Amino acid sequence: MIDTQRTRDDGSTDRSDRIGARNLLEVTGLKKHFPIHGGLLGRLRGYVRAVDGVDLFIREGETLGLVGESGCGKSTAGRTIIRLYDVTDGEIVFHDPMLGKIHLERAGTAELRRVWMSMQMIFQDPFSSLDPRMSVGRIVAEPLVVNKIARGSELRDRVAQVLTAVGLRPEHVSRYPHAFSGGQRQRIGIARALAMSPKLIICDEPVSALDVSVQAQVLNLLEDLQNEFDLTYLFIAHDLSVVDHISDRVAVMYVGYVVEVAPTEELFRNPKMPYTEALIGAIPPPNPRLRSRPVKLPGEVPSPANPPSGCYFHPRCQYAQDVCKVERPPLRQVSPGHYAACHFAETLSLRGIPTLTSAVPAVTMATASSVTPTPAAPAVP
Amino acid sequence: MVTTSAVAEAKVSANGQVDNVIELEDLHVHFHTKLGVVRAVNGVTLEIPRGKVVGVVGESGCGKSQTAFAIMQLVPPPGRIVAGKIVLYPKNGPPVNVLRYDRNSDEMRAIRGGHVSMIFQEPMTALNPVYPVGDQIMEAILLHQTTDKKEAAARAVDILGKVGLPNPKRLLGTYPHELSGGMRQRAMIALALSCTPDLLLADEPTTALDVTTQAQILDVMRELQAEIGMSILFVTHNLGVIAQMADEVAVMYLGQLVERAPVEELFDEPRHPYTRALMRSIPHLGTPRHARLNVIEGGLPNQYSQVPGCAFHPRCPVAQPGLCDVYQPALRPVTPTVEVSCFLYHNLDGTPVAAPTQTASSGTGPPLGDALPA
Repeated sequence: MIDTQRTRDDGSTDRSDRIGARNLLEVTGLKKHFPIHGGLLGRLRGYVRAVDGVDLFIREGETLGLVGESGCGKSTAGRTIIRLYDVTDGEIVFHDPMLGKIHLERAGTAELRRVWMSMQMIFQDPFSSLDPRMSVGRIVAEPLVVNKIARGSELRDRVAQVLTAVGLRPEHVSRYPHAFSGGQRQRIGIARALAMSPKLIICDEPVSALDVSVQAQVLNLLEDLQNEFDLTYLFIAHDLSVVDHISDRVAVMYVGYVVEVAPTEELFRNPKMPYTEALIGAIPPPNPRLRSRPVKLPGEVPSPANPPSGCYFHPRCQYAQDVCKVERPPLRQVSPGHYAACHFAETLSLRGIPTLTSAVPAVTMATASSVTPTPAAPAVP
Repeated sequence: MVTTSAVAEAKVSANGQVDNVIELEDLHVHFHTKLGVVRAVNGVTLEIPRGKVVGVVGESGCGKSQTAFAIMQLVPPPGRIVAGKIVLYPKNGPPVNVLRYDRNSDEMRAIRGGHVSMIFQEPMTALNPVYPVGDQIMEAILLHQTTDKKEAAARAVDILGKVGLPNPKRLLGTYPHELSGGMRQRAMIALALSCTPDLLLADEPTTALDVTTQAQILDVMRELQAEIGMSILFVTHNLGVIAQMADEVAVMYLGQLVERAPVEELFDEPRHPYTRALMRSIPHLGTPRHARLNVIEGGLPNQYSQVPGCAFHPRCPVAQPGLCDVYQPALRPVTPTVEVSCFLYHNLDGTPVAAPTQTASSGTGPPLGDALPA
């Protein structure tokens, strides 16, 4: 419940040993605009600027959470990074373990196929992302067959191996997706992504469609697999509690661009961009004694087809000044490792999650004393 | 068949003066299918105090939505309410034994929308896409409250304004598809509250929304709840939402209530092993980062089968062989305000187990309260 516990609890924060110093992926000024056609002749009416200047990097072995409200372009950003969409503008540099430095934004089909061996994706909907007419074995084997990586008994062994890794049984190969529950289907999707032994997996809302108890199983699985296979995740989600739990660093998106990036703890405790403050403030605290009114965020998310001038957040921002209406602030480093896109990042004092003090309610003390497994009790001063 | 004596008895049954808006007694909802009987709601007894919010927590399929549907007599076929009693105590008027009426009767129609309303996760399940929002709200008002069209329109504008929709007059003629997700949710709430019901059944109303919109909707619901003085049965699995909204919490597992407690007590000390396991399996702000989440061992049993003894015993880390797998524990008080159905807290004959907290905590790990922000 306190910082000390977080850091002392085994594996809870100290992951510095598994995160490399090297960047695996660097995205600079990424844009993806979709044309809007309208009228009788289908003339071009404008563009939906779904992704409009995303900057981020992912270190080897870490989990970068990407959050934002629906329609902010986080899924489009993920899909553009893996090149399911063509890039409108910007750079995507992937440091492939085999191929070296690759500019994904201009990679051709042949090159992409080779990159996709080390870059895979997990989708949100475990029902629509699996072909109902393919057996589990064929679904998981497909990437291996298509890329001519394995065949015959080698293929069967590999499929059995990844199915076991995700907690399914090798005999499940002959069954079809309909025979599985939502959580198991998501495991099949994860197995398919794992089959290629990727380095980077883009997880697009992997647990949003799952029931609460199943969600915990899949989150645990993703963490186990990350440790076992040394994976790097770009974890796209709208549930801030899930992102807080699984991410080393978090990037916040608003109407097509990243407005803040920081290590998870720092972002939630000490936001530097007013939108992040509002987003965090809207999370209902899981404490019935803390019934605070959230920071009011007036209005709605603007349309990416017609974003406001200047800083896209200025019409809803309670700290907005004249400069915000004119100039869009760039994403810049405000303190080591903490990037924010706000003109007043240094001067504003924004509210994060309340810092937890040692003023723990008596009840918590009582329960802590009855705890057996965790080493939490000694940490309480 | 509500006799006045039965009502009077129910009303004073607990500690002296209890003013409940609805009382469910031993409610059973069964789905008779070709493969067998699914006992979706299997003996739920629950009272909702007037003006209070009761949160219902549980996994999908635990019967929380069907309980809500049963109150409206809207259990979809082949489901049927096979046993139980539902007594509604409207603000004005005599108590109503809901199940005495046919589901298609005029009396039932008067209850639905008039006294009890429901909101859903997906607003389009409640809103008709081919009619303007205003028409739909006016229809409900004209059905239940007034026959004057002008007055109905005025009330519709009023309620649309109250749920925080901008320019409510113009919205009367707006179709649902023209609204954003959050606005649709508000429109659905406006529709549900247009006739100032005594009880609102809220079935995961914010689950599909972004946190910012969720915060706005919760705010609106809280304000209107206080203003109208209605009670809410709030079904959700978001612990934050429960903590913020509920006065009391009921935890359901496989069609039964396993724990009932005031919200503070539930968060301080979840008592039933299932409650503990469920609460620790849900990540929330403050759980140690990257630490393994608690997983409830095993899966839900086959829906057609009936588990002997306590329904949770096959997955329970502290199940007592010879007891939990044979006898079914009843929901009994552990403290004056908390009821739990578990043999950790009471013996077979209903007498309390000595020092229950120590027995319960051995081997089940830290209760949730441990990881909560102060």
